[in-house]
Amino acid sequence: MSNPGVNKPETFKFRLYVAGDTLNSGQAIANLRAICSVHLLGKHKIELIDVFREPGRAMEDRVFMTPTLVRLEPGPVERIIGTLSQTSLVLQVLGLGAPA
Amino acid sequence: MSPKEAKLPVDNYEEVSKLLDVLLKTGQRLEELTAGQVDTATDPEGRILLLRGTREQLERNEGARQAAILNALPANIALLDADGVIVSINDGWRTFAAANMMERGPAGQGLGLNYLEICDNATGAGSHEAHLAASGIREVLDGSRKSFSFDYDCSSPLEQRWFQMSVTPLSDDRPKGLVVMHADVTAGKRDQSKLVLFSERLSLATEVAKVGVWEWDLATGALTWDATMFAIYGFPQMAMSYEKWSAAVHPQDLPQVEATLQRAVNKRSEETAEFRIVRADGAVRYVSAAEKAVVDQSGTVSRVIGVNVDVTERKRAEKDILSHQAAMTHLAERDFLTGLPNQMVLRNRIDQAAEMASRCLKTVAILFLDLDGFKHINDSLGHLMGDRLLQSVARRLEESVRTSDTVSRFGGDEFVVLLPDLQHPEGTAAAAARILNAVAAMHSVGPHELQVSACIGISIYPDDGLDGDTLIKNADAAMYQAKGKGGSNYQFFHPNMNIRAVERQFIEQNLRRALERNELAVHYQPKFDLKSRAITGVEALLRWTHPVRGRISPAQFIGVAEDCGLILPIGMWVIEEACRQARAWLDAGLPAMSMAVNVSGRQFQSDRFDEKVMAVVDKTRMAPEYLELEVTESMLMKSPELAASRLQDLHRTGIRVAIDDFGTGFSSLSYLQRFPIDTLKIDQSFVRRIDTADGVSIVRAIIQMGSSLRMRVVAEGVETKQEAITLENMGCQEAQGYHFGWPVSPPELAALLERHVRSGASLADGCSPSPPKFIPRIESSDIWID
Repeated sequence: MSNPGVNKPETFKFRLYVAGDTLNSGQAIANLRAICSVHLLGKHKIELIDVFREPGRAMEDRVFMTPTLVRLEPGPVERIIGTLSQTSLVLQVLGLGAPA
Repeated sequence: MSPKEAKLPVDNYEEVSKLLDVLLKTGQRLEELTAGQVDTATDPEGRILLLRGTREQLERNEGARQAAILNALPANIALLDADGVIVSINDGWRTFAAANMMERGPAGQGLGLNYLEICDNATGAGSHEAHLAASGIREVLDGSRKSFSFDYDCSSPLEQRWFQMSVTPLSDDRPKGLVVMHADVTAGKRDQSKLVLFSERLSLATEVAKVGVWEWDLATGALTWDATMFAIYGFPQMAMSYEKWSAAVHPQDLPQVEATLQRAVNKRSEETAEFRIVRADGAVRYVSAAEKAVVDQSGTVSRVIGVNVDVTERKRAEKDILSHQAAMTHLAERDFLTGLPNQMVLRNRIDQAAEMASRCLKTVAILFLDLDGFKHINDSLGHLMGDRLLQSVARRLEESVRTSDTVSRFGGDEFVVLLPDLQHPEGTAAAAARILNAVAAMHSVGPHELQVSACIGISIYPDDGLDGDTLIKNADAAMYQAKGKGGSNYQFFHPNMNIRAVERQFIEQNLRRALERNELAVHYQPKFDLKSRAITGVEALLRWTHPVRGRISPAQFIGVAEDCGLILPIGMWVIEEACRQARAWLDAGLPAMSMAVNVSGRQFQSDRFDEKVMAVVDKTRMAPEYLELEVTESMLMKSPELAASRLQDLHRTGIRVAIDDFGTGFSSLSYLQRFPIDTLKIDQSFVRRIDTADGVSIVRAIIQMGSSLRMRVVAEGVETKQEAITLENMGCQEAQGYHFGWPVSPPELAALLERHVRSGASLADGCSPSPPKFIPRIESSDIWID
């Protein structure tokens, strides 16, 4: 786990694995966008991957459940499984907020 | 972090993989562990598994979405499996089923029921559609049909509804199931039926109006005709072409019609034309046409649409009207029977000839011709043969004179020939001899070969007279002289020739005493309503019975009475006698009716005539509206201004006015309208000839004229049933004549009226009364010289 930091200058690259238009996946997408628009405005990229369409990508990234958020940059790689509805926890894991 | 939060930051994927494996295999607790925040998990083989909650959610979503779509469709939809069992329905189907659809149609079963069986078992109303649906569904299920649909009537007593049932397989292969859909197509049907109805109405309208409709496609050259077009052209229904059409157009009219058509295309205009066509049966018909170019979206003329109407009958009617007018003009100048110039024309020509002769110092001859024994021919062979003989004589006379001469029928069997340009009096004798020979030659009249001789009296201008009246009168006297010599000869006038003058003197002297001696009497001839055959009135007719000579015809004494002025007291006596009689009948309980009285020219023009008539009306307590005075056209024309004001004075008092002998004078609408006339009496000479084309046109023209001027029309001298029927069919209202009743004495007429009243043939109500004539008018051959 990286040290949490605020206002890091780097660009955040996310990869979000979802499963079609399932409920939890949809929530995850919405939550991630909300977090990014508040905390990482203009400094993030999100790649959405539907495991039903690209099952191989999930295997490569060793993603076994959806929804799963993978933070690719800045390193190290972090994963969060779930709907991302616990904002403070998510921020903490991503190194964007003060520890709870 | 609450225990439910599913943060599973895992680096070691083998570890997790194992965990998942375990969890999946051991009851799939994963969902609970992840607090329901995970949708899928991947098993060790890489298969992505939906967790149950998500799966159910997805199914719910999909189901809801599909249901929403199905429910949103404006149709009743059911999904059937391969056996015909209803496995799914939409809201529409459900509602429709609940609303007792089964009564009228095959739609509307609940889930789990076998739709095929229900359709098979349907009975009563709608069962036909149900069976049709079942067989359609089977065909789609067994793959013999790709799809199936039909429309059916699902109306209730309150509402008309149409449905379309359609059957669609779930897949193209041998279907495992299918979709049955019932869609309400009422609106579409209604529009369609409106269109059909409109089209039917239009077609009916054009058919009833006999309007043929055609359409010509310029691109393909196709010409389309409706049934009426074929009927107009007398063609069998077949493929039409421009060539076939143009071949039917009258060759003389074709260029004009084609030009019209071309103009419609070139100018994109509406054009009309009238032309003749020659039908297959050879009949020539008149067609009125209108056509219009139809411009398509690109602005080019793509089609021409037009109509044709057969206007042959209208044309014929127009021609009839023209010929009526011509006939009326002809009447004014021509003798109806022979077509010869009438007296009016003759007198004009005599005047012209006299004027010309006086300037050139020439002479003019007047030949007065009378047939010998014509009355005998009339009596033995009948009026018709007599008339035809007169026509034949007229032709002979015309043939035997120069074209510059004038042959005129003077009346009865009398003719007058004017020779306006005479070199020598001897020439006149030669002309007279020639005429006598021509007349004496055999006449073929119907089945008869007739021979007739004549006498001619000759007067010469200026020796024997300076004006037409005198010349004619003297020629007439000379003719009498010739008669006295045994007939078939000619005589020049000599001042001593006063045979007629003697006769006139006798009549004049005796007529003066006739009133005092009670030799005069008034007889009454009934007039009848042609429809109801009720008596509408009577005409008063004067009779004179001389103690020595017996009955003297009015034709013989009226002229004398006019000349000597006796007509004034006699005429007034007739009016008074007629009014008195009318009052007496009324007082005796007989119905009121019109009393027609003839008025002579001199009497009509006499001083204060109208006041005298009113005095009689007052004295006899006659209702003025039942008194009708009959005058002749020539009387009115002698002094139209005086006549108009006098008639108006009379009319104002309520007295009616009839034109007697109508058609023999100067018939013209313009003069008729100037006088307050209630009744037109068609002269008997026309009635006599009503079985001929000319006669029919004249009588019809008079009836139409009377009708358009709102005058009653009475036919005189109706002698046969056929004449009565023809007149009735032509719209003539009243008639009198021997067919209906002879002139009879007052007691006889009273008896006749009583018989009519008793038999229920009541007097026609509201008929304009037509009162007694002031002066008589009797046998059909009588001539009345005004």
